[in-house]
Amino acid sequence: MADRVADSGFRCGALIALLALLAAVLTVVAAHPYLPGPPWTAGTWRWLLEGGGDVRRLILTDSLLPRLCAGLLCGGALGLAGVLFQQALRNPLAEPSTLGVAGGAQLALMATATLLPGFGGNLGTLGHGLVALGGGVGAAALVVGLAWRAALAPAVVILAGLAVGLTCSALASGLMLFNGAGFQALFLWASGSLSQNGWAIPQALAPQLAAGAVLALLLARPLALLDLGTEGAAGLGVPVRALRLATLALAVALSAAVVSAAGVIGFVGLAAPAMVRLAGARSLLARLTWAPPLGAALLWLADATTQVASQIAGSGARELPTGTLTALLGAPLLLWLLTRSGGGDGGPPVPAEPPARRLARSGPWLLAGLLALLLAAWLALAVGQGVGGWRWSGWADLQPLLYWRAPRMAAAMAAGAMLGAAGVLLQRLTGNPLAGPEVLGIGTGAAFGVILLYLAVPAFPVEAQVAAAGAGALATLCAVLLLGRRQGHAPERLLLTGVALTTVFGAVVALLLSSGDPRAFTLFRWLTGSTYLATPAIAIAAWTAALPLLAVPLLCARWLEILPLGEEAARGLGLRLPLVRGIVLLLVAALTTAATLVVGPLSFVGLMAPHAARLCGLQRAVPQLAGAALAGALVMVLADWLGRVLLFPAQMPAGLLATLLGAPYLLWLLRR
Amino acid sequence: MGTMVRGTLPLSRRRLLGGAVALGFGGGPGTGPALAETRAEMGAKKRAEAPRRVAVLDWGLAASCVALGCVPVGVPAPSWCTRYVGDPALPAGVTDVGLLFTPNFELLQELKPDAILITPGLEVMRGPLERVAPVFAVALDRPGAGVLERAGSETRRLAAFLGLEAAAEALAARAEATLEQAAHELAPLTDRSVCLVNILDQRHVNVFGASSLHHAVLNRLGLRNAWGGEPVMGEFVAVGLERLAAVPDARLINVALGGFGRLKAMAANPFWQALPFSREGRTHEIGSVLGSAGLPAVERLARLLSAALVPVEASHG
Repeated sequence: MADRVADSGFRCGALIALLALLAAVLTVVAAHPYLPGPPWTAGTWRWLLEGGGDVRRLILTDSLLPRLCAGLLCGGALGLAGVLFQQALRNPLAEPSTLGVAGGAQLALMATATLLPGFGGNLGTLGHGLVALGGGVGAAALVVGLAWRAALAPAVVILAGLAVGLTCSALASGLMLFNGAGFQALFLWASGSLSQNGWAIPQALAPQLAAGAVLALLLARPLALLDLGTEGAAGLGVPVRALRLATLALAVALSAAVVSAAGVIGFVGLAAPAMVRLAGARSLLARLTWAPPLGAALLWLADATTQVASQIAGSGARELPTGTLTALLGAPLLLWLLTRSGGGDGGPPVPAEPPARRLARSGPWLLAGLLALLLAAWLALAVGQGVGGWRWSGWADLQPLLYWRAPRMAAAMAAGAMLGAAGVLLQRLTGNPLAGPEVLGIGTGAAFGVILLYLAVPAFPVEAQVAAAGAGALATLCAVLLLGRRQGHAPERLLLTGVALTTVFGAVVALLLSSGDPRAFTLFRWLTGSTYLATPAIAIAAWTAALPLLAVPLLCARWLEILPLGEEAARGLGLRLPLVRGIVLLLVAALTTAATLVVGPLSFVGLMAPHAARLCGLQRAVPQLAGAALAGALVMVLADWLGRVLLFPAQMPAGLLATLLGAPYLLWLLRR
Repeated sequence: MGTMVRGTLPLSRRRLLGGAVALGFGGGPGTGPALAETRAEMGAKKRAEAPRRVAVLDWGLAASCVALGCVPVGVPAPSWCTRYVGDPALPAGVTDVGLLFTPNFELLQELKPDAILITPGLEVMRGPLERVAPVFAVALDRPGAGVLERAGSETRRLAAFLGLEAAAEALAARAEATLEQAAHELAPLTDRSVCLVNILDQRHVNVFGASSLHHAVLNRLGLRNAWGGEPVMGEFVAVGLERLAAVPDARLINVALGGFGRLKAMAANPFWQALPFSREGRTHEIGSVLGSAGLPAVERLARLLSAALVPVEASHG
């Protein structure tokens, strides 16, 4: 036992040392042009300490050095926050964005920028930071308030966090679409830049991180008892709710500090704890010890890399935002660790499902859903706005409008149904309520394909876009299947793999969006889930794919009942797990790909619809599948219609509206 | 295929229409009375008549149209268009047809334009747009080599499509004259290079690179762009303030895309104040000039540059 602990400590230390060494070399390379001589000579240091108003010295002391410190502090804070989130919520996928901190901060910044035009340059970095801090903490407080009655049970906190975070990001994206060209600075912030021009940020971060570390150590002992489960910990006299609240508050404070200082630097908070765990640090204390320095080293390496890269690329290339680089570096590292380390657990156990209502009779619910869907479809076709304002079109008036309205409504319906079903399959397969089809990375893979098309070809028809998205999705699917094969598609690994892939692609997307290139906004529209360009051919294709793909899962009903019971039970009941998981995964992938081709990658219907169905009491596999498909279709049709008419003549992407509809509904269900 | 009926226009359009037909648009379900109606209306028009009611789906293109004397019936988000283009201003009463890059097809159909003008970036929606009216693409949004020449040639091509060739010649002559005069006025100031930026926030700026129309105009005026690099994408690169130390001797000009005041806000930033151009008072701010606005943008940039920099020369004596 002692050997194992020492061994894991050695491995973590070695990993950190390796990353830090690389980072140090790159930092020297990056600082080299600003130094009068080699960094190891006394003359250089004397110049640095005493030199006058030289611009090079200014850059070293007021830009590069504070940047280095800010990177280390942010990385450490994110690593620490990640461990705390994952322990308090007992979910290896929990990270600083889980509680909506980033989404809240982004929304606050967007709203301020809209209400106070000219804000981008006029409000100082500090003002920027305060607004972001307020937004982030506000969102997290809302989450905690919503989950309070459930004693801050992890599943409820996570769902509430997702819903709040998604709502915030959707609202922020909506604002962004309206004022697109004016928001480049905020895109830049959202992609995480550590660029500094003074010591204000590191000076503010250092005491925050130090206080956070002390508090985390104080919380460590009772927190470790949470591994025993809520009842187990409570039985030992741990005040579970108060402990969770304190831990979450600390973690939120840490991540909000980072968000307000450097913008959204994703992935470090997820990757650092996951990496130390994969390197063998199992106990909470070990993870608390190793994750912050690993996070710091990771972020330092990423930041140094981006600086060197921009130096090599010369003055024409922009500097990659550091947040982009962490993803590009961290994700492959995580993937590598995932394939290397043998079996064992991928992290703390995932939480039990949130409390659902007692089993309901499924017939009436499904019938009601179907009726609501038909009603929504009719609404979407007949009601709209024109030059003269709102109007309701009869059959004859409708004829010239059908070409615009029917295909997008039909495509949205098919996509919503497919995403809902895919969500049920995936959540049953992994037993993780956080798993949505988006998490698999297929959607972002599709987005990546489209981005490559945008970069390669200046002009193309919408069919080429669909083909590119399909190719991207297929490539990602192959990657997920290949990477997961060795572990027999173990759910935990699967999700981490998907998250890693999503992060890599997401980083490239963010990079493109912050470039200020006008084409990026066309892309942004699609990325936020748009049915805007659905043609009749696309709608027909969507339904051709949807009908068989929705029918096949019904044949796997028995598997789907058994899979959530866990690996042991599934084996005991005679399931050939790798095969069963492979097939279900393939179905999920097919459904997600087809849906993504139609509405783009970012609609969280696949995450929300299964929860909605289950919270209505549709607990068994087949009713849940049908209910989620109906709910998904209903939400997408309504979202598409609202997106079309609400802010006429402007049109909001359906995916965005679906989030705005679905997330509060989920919150409402949670409250009951 | 209904679209072929309208094949009465120059060769380039016919080619483009052919492309759309080949992609299978125009037919399919929903080819209803709307199309027949539009078609009948089009047929009734005299074939040689140039389009008068045009919907313009790009801000730079809209500015070019206005400068040529053709007021669009519909433009996406006209208020933002005015904010970014500056001059020529869009007259009041232009219908808002939705967001940039997401025009509202239903509303466009209701406006019944004679033609729809797009940039190549909007080719992806050519199919649906062709159902509303003939589509004409003008490549004013392509930065890169020859961007200044393209501004002239594409503006002329646009004018030919609108039947406003004379206005284009007048516009070109006016732009040429403005360039000549500005070059003359700025001749004493060619000692220092010029760095055109767009301040984003307290830590980042966009720098206009070698592919931008702005760079081409600087060259034409005999000024040197301090930022030599060619952006990988688009017309500018976003960089941290520290990178501006690479151009210590330049005059820095903030192009206030979308709004003034950002340069003034930098006064509170010590790092900015310590950079040489700022310390030595070589910073200026000019109004928004959109790189995709063709000849009007060329003329406007030359005018604004000369107005901002000539007082410098005067103060130096």
